[in-house]
Amino acid sequence: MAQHPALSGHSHETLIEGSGGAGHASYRAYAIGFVLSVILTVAAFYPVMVSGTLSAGWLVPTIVALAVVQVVVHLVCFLHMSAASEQRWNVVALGFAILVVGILIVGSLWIMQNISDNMMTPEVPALAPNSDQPAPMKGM
Amino acid sequence: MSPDSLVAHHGEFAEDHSHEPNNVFGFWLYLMTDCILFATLFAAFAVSRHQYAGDVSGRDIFSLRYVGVETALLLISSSTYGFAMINAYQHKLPAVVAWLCVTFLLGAGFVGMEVNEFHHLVAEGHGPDHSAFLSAFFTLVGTHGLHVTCGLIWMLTLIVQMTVMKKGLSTVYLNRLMCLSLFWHFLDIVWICVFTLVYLMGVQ
Amino acid sequence: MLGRLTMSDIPYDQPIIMGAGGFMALVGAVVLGAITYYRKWSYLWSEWITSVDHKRIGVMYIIVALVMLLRGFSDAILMRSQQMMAHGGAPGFLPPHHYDQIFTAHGTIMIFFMAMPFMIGLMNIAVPLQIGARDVAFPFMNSLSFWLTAVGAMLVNVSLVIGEFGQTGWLAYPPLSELKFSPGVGVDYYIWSLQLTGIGTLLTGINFFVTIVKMRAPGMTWMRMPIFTWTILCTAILIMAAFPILTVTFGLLSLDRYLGMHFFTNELGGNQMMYVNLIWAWGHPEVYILILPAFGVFSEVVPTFSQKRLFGYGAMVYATVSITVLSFVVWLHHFFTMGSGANVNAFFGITTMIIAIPTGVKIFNWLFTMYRGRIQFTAPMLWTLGFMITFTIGGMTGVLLALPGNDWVLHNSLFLVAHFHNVIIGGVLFGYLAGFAYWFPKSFGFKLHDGWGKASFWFWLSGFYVAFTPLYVLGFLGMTRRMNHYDNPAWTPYLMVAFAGALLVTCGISCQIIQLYVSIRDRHLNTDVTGDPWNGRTLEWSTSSPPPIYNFAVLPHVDALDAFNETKKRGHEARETPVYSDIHMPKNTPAGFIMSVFAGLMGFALIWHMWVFAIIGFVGIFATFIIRSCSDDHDYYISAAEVACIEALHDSRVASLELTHVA
Repeated sequence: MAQHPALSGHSHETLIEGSGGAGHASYRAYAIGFVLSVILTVAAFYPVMVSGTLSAGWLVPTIVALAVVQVVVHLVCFLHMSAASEQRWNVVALGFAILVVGILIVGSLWIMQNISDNMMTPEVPALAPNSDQPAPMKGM
Repeated sequence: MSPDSLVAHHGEFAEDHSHEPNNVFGFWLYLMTDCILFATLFAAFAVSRHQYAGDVSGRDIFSLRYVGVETALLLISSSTYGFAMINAYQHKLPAVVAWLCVTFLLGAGFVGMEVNEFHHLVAEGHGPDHSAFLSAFFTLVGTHGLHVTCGLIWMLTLIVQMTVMKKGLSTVYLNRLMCLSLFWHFLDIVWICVFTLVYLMGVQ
Repeated sequence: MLGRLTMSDIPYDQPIIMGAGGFMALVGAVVLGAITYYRKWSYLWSEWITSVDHKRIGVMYIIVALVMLLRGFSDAILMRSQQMMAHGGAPGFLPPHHYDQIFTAHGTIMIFFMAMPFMIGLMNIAVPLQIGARDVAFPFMNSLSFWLTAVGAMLVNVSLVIGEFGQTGWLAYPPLSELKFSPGVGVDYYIWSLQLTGIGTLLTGINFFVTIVKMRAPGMTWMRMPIFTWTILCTAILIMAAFPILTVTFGLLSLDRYLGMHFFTNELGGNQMMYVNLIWAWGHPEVYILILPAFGVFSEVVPTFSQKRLFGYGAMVYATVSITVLSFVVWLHHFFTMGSGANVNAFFGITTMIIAIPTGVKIFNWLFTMYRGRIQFTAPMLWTLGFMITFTIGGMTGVLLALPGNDWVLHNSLFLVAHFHNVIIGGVLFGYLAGFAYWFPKSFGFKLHDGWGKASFWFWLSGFYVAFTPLYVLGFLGMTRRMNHYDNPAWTPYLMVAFAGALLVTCGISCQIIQLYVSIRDRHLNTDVTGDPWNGRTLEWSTSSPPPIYNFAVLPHVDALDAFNETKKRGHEARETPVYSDIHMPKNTPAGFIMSVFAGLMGFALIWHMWVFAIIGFVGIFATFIIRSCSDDHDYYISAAEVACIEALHDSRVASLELTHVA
């Protein structure tokens, strides 16, 4: 799948600055992005790894929200998405892709959930705890 | 949208030059299609996520500390690639190559850890053919790993072309570096979704 | 080394298959022999196989489509005759094993290797010319897309003689398509041929989206873009959004088959309904990927042959865009009966009915364009008129099926088969054939013979109704699709009528072959001297037929909708002598062809589990790509003097031909 058009077509002297998704790069943007990402990643891992930090009902919404924020941070700080006019088509394409992704995932889950409810699809549980379960790869 | 603001930009063969190279835009579109490809895999994973079929669940096999290290490798590699790009704009080839090499090592470390995780699972008798959950887990995480591997091959190719073949930092290679940069940061975004939806939610 | 391929995989005992294979080999030998005899190999290699010119690639796409149309249609004839004969005690002449391959191949070929290449061929020929560009954004990728499609088509044809094709229906639903129930190579042929062509199509989608967004002539704002270009823009969006889903779905099925995974199996938590869900999440947008370009063709043909501008240009654009978005929220109507319950079915039933509204808007736009126009009843116009009636009927039977309650009765019956042929033949195919006749002179410099074109249209139209109206009735009588044999004598007369319809369509196709022969023979009588044979309205008619390699010596400046028509109204004569400058063009390259050959090798090897060859193919693809990327020598300049020379030659040719025509 790595058909990158970058390597196809023709060389042509075009201006590079302010172009594509990765113009206006600066150490500052990367530093801010990196720090924010570290904070958000730790914030997502911590409540899952240390039980009792958050109640079970809040855990999943919290980590999903943190993931969404982190995706936005990456888009802005690393991919340099902005509302600038030369970015217009990149943003439009991203918006449409997000719409399709949303329709596909929400639609599929809604359909499949209803099917399994109506068809009473059985769910075979996992191994009983403490049987011959493998050691998680701690410390590797 | 006023029609006048939408006057066509011009491409490769036109007399006036646009500010955005077509190939970077085309590559961005490819990434959008890749985004939908991953979304389909996520949908397949979501549907199979509780279909353990009497085999292991995520709680049994995931080590969050291990995933945390993998995440750190990818996250740091995103930043080091960024530093390579900043140096590329300033036409400092040795610095670009140095940062690319650091990025390559971090990425290779990530792939190595993932191969190790998969190998461990298969050796323990929990290969992808043991339950729908395991199939979906291996496929989703493995597809991301394959993308990272493709990125590594691409990075290596660019390093060789720029140094050994003395192509340097011409416009063509700046464009290619930028496309790879988009690819690399995009894979990092996919990984955020993977560690959240597969690993963090999988150990609940 | 050869995996599971043995001599016994060649079906010697099947006279029909061996006959077809022998015929294919004969035709192939004649073509190859002719190329050798006339010493055309180097011409073929340098001018066509390695070409990155969108006009040449478009022609090659359409050749593939027409060849595969013949293949798919012969499958249709076999099915119609089998169903006419196989009732009561008579088994017919096709055993189930073979019959099931035929209906699978028919559907697969007609959608992926006839309709898609036809559509992509038309867009290659017309879009860069319509927007005043010199080529597409990524010419090498365009060549790669074509050859991937061609290789996919080759794999399907190879399956006829070496091994077998799928026996699963054109979408290969699991669990039937899983290894447990389809242990042969048929499903693997299906998967790999479609994966290759699917990736080619995805690249085409990206290519044309960038081309249309970034490479329009100066002054061509969005609302000055020809409707065909608009529909291709929307089709490109749909391709980019839908084809990754197909790639993943087939990928997961192959993981089930090759690595024993459990995505869609009956065991260990697999869920075959997820396959149905995903394949239709691609499959419904695919329907619009096919029909939108046909709508685009009609929107070019109707104004041209009615000699007035399109009625409701803005409405047409908004209708196209809204169909594009809506096409993503209707996919469940293909599996209402799967059991997702009343609320889900109601949602998707309603969205399906909503999508009929923008389609209706389009029909009225074409009608009002014709209203009080000076209509010329040429072959493209006849195809359009045939479409408007046939597609409206097909659309209405579609709305019938969109009601979940109705669908429960009619699902998988011949009513459904009649419905989708009604929209795909009456909509998609008629549209592409109209486009074929419309842009043929642009590609080759001479018009198709109109009389034979009209004859073909009337046979196709009458044949279509005779063949498919009985199927609607049979659907109500309870006959399901894909039956090899049945024991209800009441159905036989209808199936005989349907067979007669298929024979009428055969006459239509014969007329098209004769039309091509006659047109090529009499090409000097039908020469398109001016480049504008129909008094067209859009930019493609402003350049010569066939256009020079650079399309436009001087890039046009657009200041209105129907740009060329505006220029003609103002009069060309006032135009001052053009000033030429150097033109930057892409160089031809064999890389796309070589990569596709490696991809074909990889696909064939994976089908037969020849792992060594699969690795060679895989490495070959990447190696070719990387080697190409090491070279910077991808483009060249045509000097202004050379352009002036080519243009002067063309002008003198036009002048001399005009003289002979006057004489």
